[in-house]
Amino acid sequence: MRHIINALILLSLAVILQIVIFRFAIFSGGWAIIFFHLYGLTMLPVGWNKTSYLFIGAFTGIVLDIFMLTGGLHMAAGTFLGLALPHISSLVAPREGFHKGHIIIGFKDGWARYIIYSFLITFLYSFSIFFIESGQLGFALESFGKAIMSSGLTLVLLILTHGLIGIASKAKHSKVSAYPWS
Amino acid sequence: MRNLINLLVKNHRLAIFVLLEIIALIWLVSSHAMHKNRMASMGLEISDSWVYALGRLESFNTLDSTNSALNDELSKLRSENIILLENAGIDCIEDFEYESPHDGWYTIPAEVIYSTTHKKNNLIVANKGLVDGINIGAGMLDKGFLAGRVVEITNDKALVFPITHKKPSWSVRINSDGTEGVMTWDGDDLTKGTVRDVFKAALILPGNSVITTGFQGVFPPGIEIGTVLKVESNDDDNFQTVYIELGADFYSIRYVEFIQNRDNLSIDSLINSIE
Repeated sequence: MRHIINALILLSLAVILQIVIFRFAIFSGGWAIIFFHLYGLTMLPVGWNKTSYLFIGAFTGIVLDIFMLTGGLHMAAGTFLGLALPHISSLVAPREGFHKGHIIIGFKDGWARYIIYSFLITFLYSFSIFFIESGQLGFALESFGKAIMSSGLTLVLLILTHGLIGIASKAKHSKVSAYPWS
Repeated sequence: MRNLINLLVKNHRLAIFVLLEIIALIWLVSSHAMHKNRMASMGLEISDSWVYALGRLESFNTLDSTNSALNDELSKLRSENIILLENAGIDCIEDFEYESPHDGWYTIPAEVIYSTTHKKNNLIVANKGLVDGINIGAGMLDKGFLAGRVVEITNDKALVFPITHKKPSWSVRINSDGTEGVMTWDGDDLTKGTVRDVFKAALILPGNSVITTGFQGVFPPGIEIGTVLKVESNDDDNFQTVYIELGADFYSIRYVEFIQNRDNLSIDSLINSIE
């Protein structure tokens, strides 16, 4: 239960940061946009009911749309990501799979796995956003380019954040060692 | 109903996804003018393309009868054109400046059902015959250009010697008021013909039109045959040879017209009575 509350608090913080700060992070004429709230979605535990991801994705989108006045754009992309999230986590899972409630963390599961997982999430979300925004099949290639740039930028920020939080967490945990003689 | 509910329960995640996406898209369309316009134009495009597809299907069903009607119309127009050409009082054709002693030329549309293109003596068979009012000696036109003449006929088919047959020769004139000559086909190129017995004194230039004289009775005068490509003077005699490009396309010949004069039979009987 504590894990669930922590994950939802982290997601809320990420959404608040996106609304307050990162909503202005639009670069290269709209080609590279930071979606920081995705950090909250990458830190959700795996193995929950698949429908719950759908609702979390949609609700996150609704909150962003209300505060950023994007009118359903984030909701559409968030719902789509919510549908895909369980499949992405099973895609990057090790052979024996993740246990229920596991959170994919770079320090524990390996950075390569974390980067792939985060990239798939950010890319899928960015592509959905740009593609829905363009509203035309003819802009699919442009949306793809924008998604690559935006997901790349967002990924760098997520790795930095994840690394910093991870280091801080490690330092905090080292005070209470299981091996006090070490 | 129960089955439907079971299906929805079984695929509830997909159903929720679709529902949420629909809500999101409705929100998007209602709050963005661009998306609203795009949805409206998409709806129009879909309905337009559907109506267009139905229209095409309908026109495809009537294609055969439309083709037939067009063929008849073309034939009628060409017949009218010929009648106009014969009427010296029509200003638009004064340039031709020929005298036609014949009245009553008319055309009958037909379709080529057999043709050869690779022989020295090519042949064409068309799907109209005696019952359609075609007689031996009738001329054949392809898109208004001279194409051949009927040499044999059955009740429902006509055998035609095209101008790409080596045997027949055709009385032609270079330009409407120009000199006359005899056109033959050399047996090589289906797009080329040769006009011989043209006086050296006649000034002939590439691009000049070659038309029928009307002397053979197969065609009225003024039917186009082709255009002059080049002219060669013969050193041995007082004539020059004119190479022409044929107007009829024997590689793709299909819909043709038979042209004949209502007086031809009476002329023939008159000639036969003398002989």
